[in-house]
Amino acid sequence: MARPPEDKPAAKPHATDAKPVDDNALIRDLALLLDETNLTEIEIERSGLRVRVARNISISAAVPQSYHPPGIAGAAVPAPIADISKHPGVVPSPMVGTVYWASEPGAKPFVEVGSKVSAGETLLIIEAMKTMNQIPSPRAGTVTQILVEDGQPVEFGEPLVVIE
Amino acid sequence: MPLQLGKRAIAAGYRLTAFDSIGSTNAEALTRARDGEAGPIWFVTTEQTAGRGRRHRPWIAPRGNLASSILEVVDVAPSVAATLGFAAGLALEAALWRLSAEAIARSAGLDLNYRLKWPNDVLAGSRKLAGILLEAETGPDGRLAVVVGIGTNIIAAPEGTPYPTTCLKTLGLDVSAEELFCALSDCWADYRGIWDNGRGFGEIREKWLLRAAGLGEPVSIQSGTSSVEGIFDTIDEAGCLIVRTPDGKRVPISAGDVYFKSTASAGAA
Repeated sequence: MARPPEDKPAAKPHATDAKPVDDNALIRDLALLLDETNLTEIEIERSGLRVRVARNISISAAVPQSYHPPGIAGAAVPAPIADISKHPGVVPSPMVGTVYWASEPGAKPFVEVGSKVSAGETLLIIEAMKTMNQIPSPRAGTVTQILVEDGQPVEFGEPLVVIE
Repeated sequence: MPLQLGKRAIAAGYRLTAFDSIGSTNAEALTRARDGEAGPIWFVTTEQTAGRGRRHRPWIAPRGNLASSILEVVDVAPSVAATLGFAAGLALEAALWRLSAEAIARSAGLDLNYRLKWPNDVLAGSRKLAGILLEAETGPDGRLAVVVGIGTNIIAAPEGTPYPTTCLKTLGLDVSAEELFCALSDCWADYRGIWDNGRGFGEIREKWLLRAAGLGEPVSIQSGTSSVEGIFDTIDEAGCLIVRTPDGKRVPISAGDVYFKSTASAGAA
């Protein structure tokens, strides 16, 4: 942990006199600390009060906390994108083109986050030269991430979705 | 004359399934591919009741127009299969000229000027005469089932479209859907042979550029919410349209609706 919790003596309540408003301040402080340090989880315990603050960022567990040079604010966003291509469940684009979530504008998308898919099932359509290519799922599983927007241009090899 | 294949198509091993009327020849071809049909086989009708264009826009055609879809199962990457559409445009243009030559011989006043519009519409002058839409799916064996749908306006053209349209009848060409299909099936066999699973795309590209509409002219391409404007420079080795923008960049375009500023001709199938 980047900073010992004792840094914030004001937020240090006794078990008996801990007020909800103090707890909220503590949680807020920890949440800020989480962002500042780019950690995914902080847990402290003191005087019978245990607080755990965590965020759900979607990188595989094997990826170590990456170092972000100072001056890049909100670095938690680019980090997962840079790492996602190494995710074992990623489905890369087989071609350059434009992605569509559905067969026509406004129609139900082929898949959504949480969809169960079987091998060969259509995930997306990629258009190139007025050729509509149905992109099949390479394996059975659950769609845990969709990394492209409807109508977005994609490059060869660009991660499209994650299936786990 | 019934719907039938030409001699060269038969010699090249093509088959034909003709329908009196059907919803969509592309949809039928894809269904057959999923059921294991390995092609090459045509699905053809003179009355398509639920034809579809790009992004499932309706393709409207009365009885008498030609709806034809060819299923080819190929062992190539999807990016290579996408270049087959250029061969399709060339094949239809060649078929049209074969039939037009006789008509021109009969009527000296006939002025026909077929052009190919990126990626694969066929125009007469600046009016859309035919639309081509490809749909591709990977089969269980890993090979790609490619369906090339070619819809040609013969006796009527849709009205109220955002781009000008025409049909063979309006052009003064008295040709039936059956006659055109017979010629198209032969010319498809020829150009499919030249394309040679993408190995011959260089030759296809050269022939296509000679017939390209709007080459060297101002163009605007809209794709989703973005648009690019500049000069239509060429098409590259992958079939992408290259736009030269005012700041000198050459931007490759792989999908979108193309609008030629000089002719006001647009075109989404």
